[in-house]
Amino acid sequence: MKPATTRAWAVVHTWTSLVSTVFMLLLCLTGLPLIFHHEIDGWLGVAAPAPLTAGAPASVDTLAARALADHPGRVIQYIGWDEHEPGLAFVILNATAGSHPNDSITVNYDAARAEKLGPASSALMQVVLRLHVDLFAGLPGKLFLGAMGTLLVAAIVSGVVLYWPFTRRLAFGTIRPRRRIAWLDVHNLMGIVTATWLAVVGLTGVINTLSEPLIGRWKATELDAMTQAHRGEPAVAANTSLDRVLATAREAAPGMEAAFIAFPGSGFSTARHYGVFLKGSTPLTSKLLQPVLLDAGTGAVADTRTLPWYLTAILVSQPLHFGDYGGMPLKLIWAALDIVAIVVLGSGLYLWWTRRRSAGAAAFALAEAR
Amino acid sequence: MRRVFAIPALVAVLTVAGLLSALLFEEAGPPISWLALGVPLLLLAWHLLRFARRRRPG
Repeated sequence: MKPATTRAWAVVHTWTSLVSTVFMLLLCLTGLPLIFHHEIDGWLGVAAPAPLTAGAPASVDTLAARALADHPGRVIQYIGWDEHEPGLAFVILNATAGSHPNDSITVNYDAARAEKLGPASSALMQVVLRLHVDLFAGLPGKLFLGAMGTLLVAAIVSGVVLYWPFTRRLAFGTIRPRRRIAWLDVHNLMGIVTATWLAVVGLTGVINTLSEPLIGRWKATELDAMTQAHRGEPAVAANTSLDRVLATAREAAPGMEAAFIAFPGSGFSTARHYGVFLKGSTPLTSKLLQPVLLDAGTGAVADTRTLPWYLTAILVSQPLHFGDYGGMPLKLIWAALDIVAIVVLGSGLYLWWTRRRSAGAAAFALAEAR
Repeated sequence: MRRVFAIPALVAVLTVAGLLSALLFEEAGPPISWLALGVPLLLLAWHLLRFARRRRPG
């Protein structure tokens, strides 16, 4: 690589990193407890699911009625079933069916006994989650973090390119003793072994920041087309049994289990339809949701079709971002890699800062590596 | 080029294999992912320990 080329990549690496580092540090630090949100919420006395009672789950109508009685003044937007805890149902309530998700509350219920267990997450973890997802700034906050994530990916790519000129005269894993050079070598070593993981977590995070506009697009196109055939028919007030809605939806998607019901007027349905989202049973097919739209008045199936590729991409990218799909050992690995990423970010900042004070040190390290 | 990127390329392949195995295979997937994704961490730990030991001999 010509020195001019190396310099150009170094400029890309320095500036993409510098602009995004503060936010990436925030994301790594808030992401660390979020890996264990289930366990932390458990320690904080939240959401401990009751032991499974044998037998069939309670009627969903009973569950919905209980939830409404438990939360006067609110309506149900969604009822869902926990991915990891069988027997655990969650109910998402809000002021109106169409109210913004940030104003909703999520309450856990024992699915077998239709009994309230408590809020689905602690106040602390909700704050950490909002910091991680949108900096308490809604969609603009999400898109901003998405842009920072894109810079991170650029920093990783340029970092991998620079790995060659900086280490080509060194055996893999060499850490030279002088303090600043040692940090440079540690930065290079930690960066190169975690590059793929961090790129995957970064990219899947960026994909997730686009979920709101993509869901909007799905509603405007696919969901709209799904209800086309029934447009103009007089709307019937929602009086159908939820259990019947669920059973009908299962018949329309054989072999699949319900993931959640979106109530009429909520984010994943229309004003006059229930949206029942069903999932498969393997780790991958459980991410491939099949929506069935049912008339809220008659309970009849309006239409069902697979999700478009862009929503499937979001759903499949989520476990790859969260690291919640391989048991506790995978969570621990996720945490360790996250801590390594924090050291890479911190050492990068240190290297930039000390180079500002002793100009030419990087050039020196480079010369020494040649 | 080949020498410099041999181990990083191996780590990258193992990382992708580890990330996908738990997603695609129900039974064997998670243990494979732990092993594969553990490699970059073990590699790192080994080189850091080696550095620490050499700095304080004895």
